[in-house]
Amino acid sequence: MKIVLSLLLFFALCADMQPLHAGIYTVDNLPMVYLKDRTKHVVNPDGILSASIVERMDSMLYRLEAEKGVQSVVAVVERVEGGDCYEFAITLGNRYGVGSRQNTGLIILLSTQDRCYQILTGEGLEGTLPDAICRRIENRKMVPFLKTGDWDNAMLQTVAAVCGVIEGDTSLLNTGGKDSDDGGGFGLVWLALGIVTVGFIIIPAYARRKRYTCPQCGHRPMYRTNSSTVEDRFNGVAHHYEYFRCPQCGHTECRSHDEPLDHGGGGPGGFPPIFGPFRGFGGGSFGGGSGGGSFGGGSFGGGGSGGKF
Amino acid sequence: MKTRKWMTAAIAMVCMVLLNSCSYNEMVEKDEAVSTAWSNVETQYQRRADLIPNLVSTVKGYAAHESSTLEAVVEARSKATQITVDPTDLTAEKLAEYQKAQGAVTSALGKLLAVTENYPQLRANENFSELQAQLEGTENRITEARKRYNQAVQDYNVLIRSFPNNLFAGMFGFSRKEKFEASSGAEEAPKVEF
Repeated sequence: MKIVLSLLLFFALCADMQPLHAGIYTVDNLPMVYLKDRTKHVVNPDGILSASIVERMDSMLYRLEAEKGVQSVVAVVERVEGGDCYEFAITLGNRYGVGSRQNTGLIILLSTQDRCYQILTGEGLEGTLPDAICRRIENRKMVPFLKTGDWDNAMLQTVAAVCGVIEGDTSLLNTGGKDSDDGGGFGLVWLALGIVTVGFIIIPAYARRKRYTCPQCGHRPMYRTNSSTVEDRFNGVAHHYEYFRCPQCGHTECRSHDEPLDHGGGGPGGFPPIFGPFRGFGGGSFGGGSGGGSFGGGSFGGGGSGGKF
Repeated sequence: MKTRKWMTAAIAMVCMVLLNSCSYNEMVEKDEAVSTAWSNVETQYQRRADLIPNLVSTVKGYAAHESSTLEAVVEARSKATQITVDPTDLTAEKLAEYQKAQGAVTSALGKLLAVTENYPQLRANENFSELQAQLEGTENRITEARKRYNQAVQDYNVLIRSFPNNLFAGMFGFSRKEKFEASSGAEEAPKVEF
């Protein structure tokens, strides 16, 4: 009884602790919404930004990823662990590997109570978005709004300016990173369809055609006149015999093939491989527009600019 | 009987060589990783050295009579750029020397940036602000590069000092490498508040 009581007390305490820590985010407990939904780039767990602004930024950042392959995380929280935006941002970026194959990750972080902000550029983005440009955007588009507590405008203007700079760089292109683009997904679907078509329709059809063509006169089709199966239980093999006759030249032929006796009733020609790939499709590994995203393993070397306000 | 003994010994030798050839390649790999990480550290320090002349000339325009602070930066820079370390020869002394010279640049820069606090016009200058952002970004990159270098060295050291690689590492010329020390107070990165 005592144990139960103390356990209850413990859980009650835990529940009580939760709200205390809700405002201070660590790299581990910051909800990465992008991983659940690839159209969402803005992390707004404390509800600091208004929903319409978040939506607008999400659409801008989604387009940025689709067109330029720049994977981004925009986070606005009340407090971060340690109170240092740079440390938090770089740990976050390197932990999750924000960024695609070209290493063009982007993190914009604002902590309203620590009063710090940071634009952090992945190693592949440092050329497009040098530190000085980051600082200029911050000085002109972000800090003036931050000083009046207008978080919505500060973030919206910053994201718009950053997107503008990145879109102006023609050398950056989405090279079909693993999951940065719907086009890539469609390409995979076509490839899979192609494999299915060739593997399961054309090749069997060809084999069938060959099977029913008379080897003597080339007439098609031959007719199957008889078939029999002899089970060899000692060796665990079933011998299948099929007899064919050509209606044109009267050529007859006996064909045989062996199958293991104890296979679960799949027909000849190997059904299991057919179902194998289909199970893969069912898994939804390249789901539609609102499936979960995954970060491409980008790394951050400390580029970008940040400050306090 | 005797031939059998010899056979066993021979097989054991072959096994050891085969086993070790894998870890030899791994040693080469890790050694190269350390060299790469080291050259990245040097690149970032060089990047900082390249920013200094620009910074100095900008500050000079607003704070001409802080010449002693400015000279200290220039001097520390020229001393530091003279020291380069070959990644194949990373001894403790050389690394310490390098770190000391770069630390002198860091502290001179810190003093310079502290002095600029007294010049509001300079601080309001957008060019200076952006230059400062580049400098801060470079300090961040240096920290990150040093971290990665230390990690690479640790991986390498663990590999060559663990059994049985330690028996062969010395034979092939793989010796223990040195890490960066944590920065002492004198060479803290310049903290700039706005």
